[in-house]
Amino acid sequence: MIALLILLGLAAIVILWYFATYNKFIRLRQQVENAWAQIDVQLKRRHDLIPNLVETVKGYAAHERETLTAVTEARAKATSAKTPEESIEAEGELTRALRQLLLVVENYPNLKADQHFLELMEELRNTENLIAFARQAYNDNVMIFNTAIKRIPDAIVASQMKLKEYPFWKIEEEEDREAPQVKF
Amino acid sequence: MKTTFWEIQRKKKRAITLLFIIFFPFFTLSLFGLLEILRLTSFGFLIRGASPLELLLLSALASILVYIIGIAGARRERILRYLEILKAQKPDKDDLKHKQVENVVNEMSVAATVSPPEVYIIPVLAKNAFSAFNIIAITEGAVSSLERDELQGVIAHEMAHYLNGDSYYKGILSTFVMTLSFFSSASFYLAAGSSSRSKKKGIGGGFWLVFIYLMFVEFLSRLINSLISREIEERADAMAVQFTRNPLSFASALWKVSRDRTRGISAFNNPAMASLFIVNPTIKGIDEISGFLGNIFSTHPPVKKRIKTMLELAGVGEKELIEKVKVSSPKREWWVEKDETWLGPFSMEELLEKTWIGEGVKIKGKTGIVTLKELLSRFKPTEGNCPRCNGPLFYTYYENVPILRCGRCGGIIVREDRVLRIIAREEDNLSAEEIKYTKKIVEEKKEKLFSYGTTPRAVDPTEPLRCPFCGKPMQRRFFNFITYTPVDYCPKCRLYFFDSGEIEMITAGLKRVNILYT
Repeated sequence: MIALLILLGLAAIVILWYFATYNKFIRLRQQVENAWAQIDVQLKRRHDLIPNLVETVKGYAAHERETLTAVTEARAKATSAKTPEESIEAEGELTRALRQLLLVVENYPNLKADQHFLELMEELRNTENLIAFARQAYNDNVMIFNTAIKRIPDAIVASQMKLKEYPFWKIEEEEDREAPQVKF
Repeated sequence: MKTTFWEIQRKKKRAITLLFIIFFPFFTLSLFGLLEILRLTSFGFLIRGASPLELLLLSALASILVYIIGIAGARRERILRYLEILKAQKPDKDDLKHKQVENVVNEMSVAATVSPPEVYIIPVLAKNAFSAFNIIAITEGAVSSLERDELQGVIAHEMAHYLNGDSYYKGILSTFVMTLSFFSSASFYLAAGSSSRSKKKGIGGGFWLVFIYLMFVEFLSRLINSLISREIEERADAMAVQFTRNPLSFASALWKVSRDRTRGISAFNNPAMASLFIVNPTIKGIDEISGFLGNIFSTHPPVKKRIKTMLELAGVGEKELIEKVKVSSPKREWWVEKDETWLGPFSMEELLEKTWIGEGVKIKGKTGIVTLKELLSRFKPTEGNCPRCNGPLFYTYYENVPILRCGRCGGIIVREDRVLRIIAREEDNLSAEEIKYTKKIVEEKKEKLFSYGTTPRAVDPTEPLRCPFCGKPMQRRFFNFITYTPVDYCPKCRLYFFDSGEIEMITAGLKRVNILYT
């Protein structure tokens, strides 16, 4: 009788553990997918912002045509990209073009005194940060997920659910991130 | 191996869970002890028939009840009411700096993969921030003095509290502590009352025993409470680094915020709220003591220790921190010709204040010489005229706050709710002579005030101004009683008019009270 009770108790614990772990994995997977979706949202936001920025800069620095065309072209390429590989490449190009534009703008104090331009710059900075943070969040969540599904005994549930590791988002350029010259 | 922020988070999480688990039986046992001691007093008859086991069960039930009260008491509405008292508002869309705060909150919520919380800005000069539930509040002083990356750190710390649901932890803990503290003060009154009557009635000093016991238990519970509080803060710090990956900026933000002696103002002096803030709003010497006493009573870890942890994470020393917090001066890149010499450099805002700049004056920027007309073409003229001199009003910005400035006399019109922002953001870089001058003016005004009467009209006897928008006469009042600066205010449109230089004087007065009055 007592042995039976103990057995039942153990079974209950195992079932509870199974449910808890199952739910945990669902939550973690949801977080990874959310973070992935965020990257797309933020990239789209950047595309919408660029025409406005180019117009403003044109008003003050019309003879920087080369830099401005580079930005417009990179944007066109990025919006029309079909495969993920194309998209990643085009976005990288756009980032470089924008960075070049920001360097050029440094030479125009008139532009920097323009409140409208300052607002646009803040928007652009915000967007760039959002993209960077979205990638960082994606990578962090992937790391947490990948570690969680390999941990014993939770790995049993993970293999039952046929969970696979997610790939990390590789950041090709070192300067892609703004602030951290920091080692962890 | 070097410690990482992941590792700190893991450690803190373990400590918090452990302490929390200890706290519940501790509370139950202390209630049980209380009941046992009550047997010795005149209240003993209430529980005479109960066995120890029954008493223990009763204590456990009472603990659960307190726990539920704690959760029920931690409500969003209370925080909203508190914010209302502080006159906190949502960020102003027309204000670039406020826009930045909103953007930073969005960035941090993406970094933390949560939906963005509500943001409120508290219009006070003190530098502090707090979060509760899905609300983040930050003071105007903090917004003004922190750079973008530092703001990220502060917001990320608050975001971590929001993500962890720390306001629930803190609500439950403080309910436990408050219950014990209520019992101990009740027992004190009972003891004091009964001992004065004891001679007549002969009820012994049993309540004194209860009181001493409860004092001891309350002390222990406060100890555990502040231990948990500090672990919670340190975990939020580590999570802030996870979100921003920029420990150095967070260190400099902490440094800036904690150096401010006005971080506590009267409305913040609410002990139940204190533990929610990023740095303790009530300044006590005990907060910065890292020894035994500090460990027992402070709800926040010493800022020194928090900064040290951040520097370790960043892998840099104090030298880099000092380099980082050096205040960057605003960009000045304009020169003006006066009496055949070039004056400057000035920022655009300073240039607009110089009322002697006329049509013929040469202005030089980085790209060459421009005229006043070109310079002014950048600003939209508006409908109204200056109430003081009837000159044209331009829509412009002062420290990123939208204002109207008169092109002729340099007076400015500011919306009432935005005035404080200018004062908070304006750097007080007055020279010794300027301070002396301000001091002299203040003295003169005070003298006038005491000899001719106490109305603002006595200080500034000119005709009352008319509001350029509604046409009604404006009120003349003192902006405050530090510099006795008479300003004009339209109660209908809620606008202030400042003569040229007045707001600077008010700022100097507010930020340098100690210098003006010594």
